[in-house]
Amino acid sequence: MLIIYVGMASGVGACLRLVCMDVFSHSSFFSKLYFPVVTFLINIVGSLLMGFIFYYLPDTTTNTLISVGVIGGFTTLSTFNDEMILLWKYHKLTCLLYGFLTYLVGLIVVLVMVR
Amino acid sequence: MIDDSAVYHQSAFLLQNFSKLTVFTIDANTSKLNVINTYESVITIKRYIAVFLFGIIGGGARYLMELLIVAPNGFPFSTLLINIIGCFFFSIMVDYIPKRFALSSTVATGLSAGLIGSFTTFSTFNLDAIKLVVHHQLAFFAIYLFCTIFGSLLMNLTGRKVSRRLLQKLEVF
Repeated sequence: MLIIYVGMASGVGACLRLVCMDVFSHSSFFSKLYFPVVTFLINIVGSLLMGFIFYYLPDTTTNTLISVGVIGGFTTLSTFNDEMILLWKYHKLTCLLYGFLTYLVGLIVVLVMVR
Repeated sequence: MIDDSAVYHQSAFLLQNFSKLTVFTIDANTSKLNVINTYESVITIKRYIAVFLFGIIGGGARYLMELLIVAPNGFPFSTLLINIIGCFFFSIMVDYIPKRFALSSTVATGLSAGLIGSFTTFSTFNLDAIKLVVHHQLAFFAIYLFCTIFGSLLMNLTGRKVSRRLLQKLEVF
C-alpha cells in the first residue's frame, strides 16, 4: 500500500517539476539562456531538501513519503542527461560546465547537511 | 535568413522544458546556429493530469525497485540501476514511442516527463553517494559516481540509436 502512496507523492513531485519548467519557459530572460537553469535549480533544491530530511528529521512514514516520493519525483536525472547530450552538439563548453556544476553542487549541498 | 535547402541539419527536440518545441538549424552558408521556437503550447490541465498519472507509475516502480534490490555490502545498486534504465527509456520515450504510435503531445509529455522523469532521481543519487563518503567507503563512492555519470550518458545515447534503428525498420515495411 505504501508503494501506491509513494507513487502518488511522486506524481505530485512530477507536477511541481512541470510547474517550474512552465514558469521558467514563459520568462523571457531564462528561455534565452543556453544553460538549462530550471533543471539545475530543481536538482539542487531537491538534493538539499533530501539531505535535510534524511539527516535532520526522524525516520517516519510521512518523511519517507516526502523524501522518496515528492522529492524523488521532483528531481530527475534523465532530463539532465538528455539536455547534456543536446548541449554537447552545439555548446560543448556549456555542456561540460552544466554537468560538472550539477554533480559538484549536488554533492556539496548534501554534504553540508551531514551532521 | 534560413532557406530550406541551406539547412543540412534540422532536428526538432525539446530543450530546457517540455512546453516549447525548439528547432535548431545550421545555416550552410554562414554555418551559424539558428534557434527557432516553433510553437509554445498552452499550459493545459490535461498535461498536468497526464504527468501526475504517469508519475504515479514511475514513482511506484522506483520505490518497488528500491525495496526489492538490496545489495549486501551497502552499495546503492538499486539507485544506479534505476537511473541507468531510466536514461535508456527516456530516449525511447522521446524519440520512438510518440512517432511509432502517433501519440498526442500530452501523452508524450506524460510518458517522458511524468513516467521516466519521476522514475529517475537525482536527489537519492546524491544522498547515497554522501552516505558512502560518511561510511568511509571511498572506493564504492568513486565506482558509484563513475558508473552513474558515464553509464547514464551512454544509455541515453544507446536509446537514441535504438530508436533511430527502430524507426528506420518501420519505414522499410
